[in-house]
Amino acid sequence: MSKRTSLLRGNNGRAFLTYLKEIGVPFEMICSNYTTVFKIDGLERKFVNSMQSKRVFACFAKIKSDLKKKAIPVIDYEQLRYFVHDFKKNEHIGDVINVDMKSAYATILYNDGFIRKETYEYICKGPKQERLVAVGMLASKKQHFVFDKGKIISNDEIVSDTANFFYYAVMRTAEIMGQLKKLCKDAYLFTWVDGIYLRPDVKALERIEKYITSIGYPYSTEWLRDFSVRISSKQATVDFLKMVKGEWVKKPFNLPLVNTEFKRLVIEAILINSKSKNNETILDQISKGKSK
Amino acid sequence: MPKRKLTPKLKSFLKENRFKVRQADYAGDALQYLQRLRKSAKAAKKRKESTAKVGNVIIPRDSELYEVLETSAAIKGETVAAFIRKNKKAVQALMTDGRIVMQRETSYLINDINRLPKRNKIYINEVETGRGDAIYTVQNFTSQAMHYTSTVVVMYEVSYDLTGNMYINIPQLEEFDDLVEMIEEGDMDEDDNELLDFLNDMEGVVVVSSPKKSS
Repeated sequence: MSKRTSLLRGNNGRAFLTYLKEIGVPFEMICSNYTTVFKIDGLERKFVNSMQSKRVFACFAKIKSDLKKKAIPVIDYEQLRYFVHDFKKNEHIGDVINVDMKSAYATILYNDGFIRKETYEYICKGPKQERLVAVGMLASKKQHFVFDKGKIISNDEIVSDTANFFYYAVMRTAEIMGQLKKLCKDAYLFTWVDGIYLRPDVKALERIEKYITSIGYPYSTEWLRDFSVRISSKQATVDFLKMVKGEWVKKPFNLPLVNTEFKRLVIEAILINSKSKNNETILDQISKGKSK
Repeated sequence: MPKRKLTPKLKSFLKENRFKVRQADYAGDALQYLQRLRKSAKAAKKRKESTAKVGNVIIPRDSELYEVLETSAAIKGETVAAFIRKNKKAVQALMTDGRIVMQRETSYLINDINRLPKRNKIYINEVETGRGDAIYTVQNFTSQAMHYTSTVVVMYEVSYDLTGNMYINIPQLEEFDDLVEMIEEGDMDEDDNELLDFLNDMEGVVVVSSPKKSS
C-alpha cells in the first residue's frame, strides 16, 4: 500500500475529503482528534495536526512494552472525573494558590508498578508536550467511517487495547485530587485534571504539600492574582493573572457545568425504558447496567 | 364445616372466585391461600391506579414521565415517592421542559450515540441525522476546534426527550465552518484567537482551552 503523511494545512484535508465524496468512489476514513487517514484502493493518505518527534514514539513504545505484562485494570468510564467545582455565583476571590502535580499520569503508572524506572525516567527527560502525547497515545480512540457514493454507509470505533491503563491514571489522579480537596477544607476552590486551586490559606497549602510529598509525587506551586469567577447558563469562566516570564498575564479558563446525578440517572432510565420496549425487560437492563 | 385442604381443584376455584367466596367457609391452608390471593389482587389494583404527585401536579401512571421516574427510582433502589421527594426541583424542571439536558465531552457523546437504542433517533439542530453522520459531525467539529485553536476539550449540550431521542444543538455550526474556511483559505490568521473567542461564545458547546497557550 502506498502511504503518505502530510500536515493539515490550509484546506488540504477537507479538500481531499470533498474530492473523494464528489467522485463517489468507495473509501475509508479513520479520524481522531489529531489525525485523519483516508484509505482508497491501495492508497493511504494521512493528515496530522502536527508531526511528532521520534522520541514521542520511543516513549510510547517503552510504555507499551512494559504494560504488555500487566493485567488490564477494570475502569468504569462514567465514574471518571476530570474536574470538580461548585461555583454557583459570580465572585471576585483575589489571590489564589495553584498546586499542580508534575507528570501526574506517568508518575502514577510508575508508582503503581505499571512501568519500569528506566521508562519513567526516559519519559520525564522530555518536555511536557511530549510526555502528554506519549501517555495520551495509550488511550487512542479513532472513528472509522466507510463511504460510498459520497455517503457514510457504516461506522465503528477503534479503541486502543491499552486505553484502560490511561484511564487508570485518570482515576488515580482524581482520587489524589479528592484527597487534596479534603485537606484544603474551606480553602478549596476547584480541581482541573491534575491541578488544584485554593484560597491563600498557608496551613491548607502545608497540609496538601505534605500529603503529596508523602505519597511520592512531584508538584509545583504557583500564586495567582485577581482570581474571579463568572457564571453563565452553560459554563463557569475563571479569570486570573499568572506570572509568565516576570510579567502578570491574564488567563481565562472555562469550566463546564457539573452534570447532576439526577440527570445521569434519568437519562439511564430513559434509555433502559426505550430498550425495554425493544423486548428487553427493565430488570434485565438494570442488572446489565450494574454489572458493567 | 370450613374447607381446610388446598387441593389443586380448590386452588383453581379460589383463583377464579377470590372475591366471590366467603372467607368464613375456609380455614387452614385454603384460608391462607385465599387471603394471599386477595391481598395481591388489591396491591395490583392499587399499583395500577397509583400516580405520582409533584407539588399540585399529578403524573399519571401511564405517562412516559412516570415510567422514567419509576425506572430511575428502581436503579437507585428507592420508591417513586421518595425519589421525587429528594429531587423535587429537578423533576419539576423535567416536567416543564420535557427534555433533560447534559454536557458531554466528545468521546463520551460518541459512546452515547453508539449505544442509543436502535428505535431512537438523533437530531442535530432539530434535523434527523444518521448515526454515522452524527458521529462524523461531532468528531469533525472537535478536531477542527483543537486544530485551529488552543482548545483541549469540547463539551456538547445534549438533550434527551422522554422516549430517548437525542438532540445535539450546535446552532452556529455553519458560522463556525465559515470561520474555519477563512483560516484555511488564509483570509484569517489562526493565531489571532478570533475562532477561540467565537467558540467561547458559541451556543451549545463549552470549550476548554489550554491556559498555557491562550493569551
